Amino acid sequence: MAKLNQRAARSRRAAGRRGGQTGFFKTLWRWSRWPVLIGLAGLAFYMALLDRQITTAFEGRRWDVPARVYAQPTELYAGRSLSQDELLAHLDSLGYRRVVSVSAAGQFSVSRSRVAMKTRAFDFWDGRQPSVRVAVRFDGGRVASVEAGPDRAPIARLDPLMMGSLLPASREDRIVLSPEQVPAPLKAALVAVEDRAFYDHHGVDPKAVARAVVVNLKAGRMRQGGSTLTQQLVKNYFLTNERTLTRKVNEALMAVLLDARFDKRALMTGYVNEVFLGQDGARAVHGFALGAQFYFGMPLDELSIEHVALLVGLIKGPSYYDPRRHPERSKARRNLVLDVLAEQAIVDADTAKAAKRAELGVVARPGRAAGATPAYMDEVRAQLARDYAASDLNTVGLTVFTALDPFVQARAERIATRQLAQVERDTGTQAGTLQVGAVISDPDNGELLAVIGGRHPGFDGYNRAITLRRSVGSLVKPFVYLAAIESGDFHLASVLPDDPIEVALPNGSIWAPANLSDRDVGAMPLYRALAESVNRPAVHTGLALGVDAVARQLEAALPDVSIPRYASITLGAINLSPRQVAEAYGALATAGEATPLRAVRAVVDADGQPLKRYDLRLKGVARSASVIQILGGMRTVMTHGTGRRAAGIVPGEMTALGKSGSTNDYRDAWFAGFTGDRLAVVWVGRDDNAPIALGGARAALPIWAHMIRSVAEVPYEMPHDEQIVAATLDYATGMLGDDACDDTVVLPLPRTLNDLPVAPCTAAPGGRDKNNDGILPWLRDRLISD
Amino acid sequence: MAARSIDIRLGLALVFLFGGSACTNITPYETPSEPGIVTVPELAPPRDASGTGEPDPADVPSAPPVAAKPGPAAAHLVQQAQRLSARRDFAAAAAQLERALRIERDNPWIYLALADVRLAQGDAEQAAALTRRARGLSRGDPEVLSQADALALRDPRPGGR
Repeated sequence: MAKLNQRAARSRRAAGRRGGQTGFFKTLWRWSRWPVLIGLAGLAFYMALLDRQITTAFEGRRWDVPARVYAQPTELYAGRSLSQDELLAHLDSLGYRRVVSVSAAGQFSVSRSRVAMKTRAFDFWDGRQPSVRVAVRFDGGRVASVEAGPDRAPIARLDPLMMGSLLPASREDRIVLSPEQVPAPLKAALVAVEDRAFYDHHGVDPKAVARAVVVNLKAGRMRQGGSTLTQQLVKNYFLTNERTLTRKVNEALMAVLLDARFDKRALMTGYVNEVFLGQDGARAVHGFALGAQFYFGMPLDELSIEHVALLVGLIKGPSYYDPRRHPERSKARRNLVLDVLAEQAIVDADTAKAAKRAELGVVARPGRAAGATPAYMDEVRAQLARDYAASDLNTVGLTVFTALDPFVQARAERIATRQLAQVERDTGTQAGTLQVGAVISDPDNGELLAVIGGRHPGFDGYNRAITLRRSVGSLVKPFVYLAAIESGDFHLASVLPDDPIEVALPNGSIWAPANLSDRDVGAMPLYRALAESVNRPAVHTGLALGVDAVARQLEAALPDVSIPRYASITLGAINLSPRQVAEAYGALATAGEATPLRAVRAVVDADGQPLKRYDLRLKGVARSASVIQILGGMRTVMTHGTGRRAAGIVPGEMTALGKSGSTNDYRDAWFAGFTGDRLAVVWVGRDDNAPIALGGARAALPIWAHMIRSVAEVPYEMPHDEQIVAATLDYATGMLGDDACDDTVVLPLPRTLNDLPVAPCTAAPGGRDKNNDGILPWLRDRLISD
Repeated sequence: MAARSIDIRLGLALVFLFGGSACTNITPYETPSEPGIVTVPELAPPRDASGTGEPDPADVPSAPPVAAKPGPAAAHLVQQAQRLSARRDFAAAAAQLERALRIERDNPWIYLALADVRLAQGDAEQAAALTRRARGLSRGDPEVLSQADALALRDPRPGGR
């Protein structure tokens, strides 16, 4: 009984103990359930927040690609002016590698005057161009023959040089690869070096963390991170370098979430596209595809294993291991990576050994940072801005094909800088005070080939070719006289008065334009007034026509410009940019078929589909018979007028036509003109608009002439028109002349013109009478008074 | 209607393009019509070294004017354009012709071929402008001028040029 009691008592005690435990937990729960529930809800909420943050970042990021801008592709064909050395230099800048025997795209070989290559496949605006083998033979400075592809086509087009990107505000630049474009060796190397358990863990790798903790404890400082590729990806998205526990925990949580949401392939691709690999001025180089371009000048899939190893090694410290600044350090790091690859059997030992002996192979830093030609890029942006929203340009991965000619741009930059300094020396101008703006275009199709925004072409600042607006002075005269000839009342040899003139202005003041030289020439033929840029005949002519007719003629050639209706526009009181002048002069070069100046040829979307082509568009703005007469006058500018000095620079056989421009108080100096294949406009002046005491012929012409000499290949040939004949005239008087005259010019005149007097200097019967006193007034009455 | 016959017409243009004879740089403007009035036969660029603008008398032409036919590279692109036109891919054909024009900038035949494509696209205004440009570059070649006339006749616009 006692036993029973004892048992009952034990059991009661036990029950009491159990009852006490339950009570404790109940109590604990009672007291803590709300904080715990709130905590759990908070964590869930926080995780959802992180999840949303990281998912948005990852998904959004995959589409944030700046538009990539390309120069015009180089076409190879027989007869093209291009030396073997120039082609080799160009292939070098495209990242083609010289080999003994060509086996893959992006390679070339050289044997005497023959270059063999395999081009890269490229998505052009007019379709995908496959990779083909090309053999090019040279003869002196020209291409002698081209054989491309299996059908031995006589023409080959190289992949274009990348000029830069239209960067978003973050200044991050990258070339984005799709998952299938990521080369297998790169993936293997990344896993081997950065995260060996990448394909097994769930975003974080506890073993790696433990290892890192041990290493760091032993070292007494942070030596190893233990971050997975996923964690690094997360870290890249939020770009903070603070080393706090909170950040580490957040990073780990986000990595787990990211790993749960996306497959390893997507994460690997994200990493390959995201990783920061270096700084190029203001531009941040992200992703391996851009890294391959930036360091090796070639596409990622053409890299050899030592290149891949170098890039993978860079991740640890793009600045510390920068192969350009610290080649030794970079090489040691690369070789360490190669050791790991050999150890992991990703490459065999012999390959690794050979790769470790290889040079770094890094190309010289691109001459300038992204937007290598900032002045040209301004025009690209301006043209695109008419058709695209800025956000599209920065983010949706457009490909922009421009007309920029890298050869022409490079030469023009050299000349602008050197010749501007020379002009300062020659004219006793204080060095560094003058500025220059220039454009070079193709007069036939309006393509913009080169833009010089100032005397320091690499500087991304005020653009004196595109943004600047200055008074064009006498550059306007061809249009004044074109309007005159278009009216039907004038022709190229019409004699114009040079009498003093006063114009009453609406504000009550009197405008009395003077000739720049202050010399009184007297009445003169129209071409001579143009050639020698005499002011008063232009004003007389413009006022006889009416200011409106002159303005309309200019507006036809400059559709985006509104010309004020002032008498002073006849002397060029119109503010234009060199780019606008080039557009206007293009209408003259094509005998009246104006074509808008174009920097962009085409835009292609991220899938290679053409979005927009900027076709050749012509618009008749004057009759060709009228323009051809003006062209004759502009040729006389070069032979007898203000363009004469060019003759010492531009070779005689390179026929060029042009016109100088100077403003009254010598603030702006211009020269504009063209050959058969190049149109150049040069402005020289000061940024503060102070007088420079130099006219166009002294300050702008030398620069223009050196540019033309350097980039022009085709002499100007007068267009054909059934209504035009050529006549030999006595230069001074504009009367018909012959060999007996001291100075004659051959000029285009209307076929119907049959009453030109014969000059006294000729051997012709009518010319023997040297009593010429009455001829000029007679002509003036005949040709000007109506 | 214009579009349907494009292949035939471009083919016709190609006969002109490739059936060519030797070329010369000389453009006759006018033969002297009156003694004592000197009218020179060309307004082409002065080929003399002095660059004074006076043509060398030795350059007086004896052969009829002919505009050069496209060379092999441009001809290759014109043929590609022809194939694209046959598939009615006029935009791509125009792109190839513009490419050909960058190689032979002053070739009136390529301008005519481009005018033909524009006409097939229904862009009579561009076709007319391109034809005018071809005339300007013709050096007076009668073949080019008669082709230009033929193109102008097909201008569907009322009173088209």
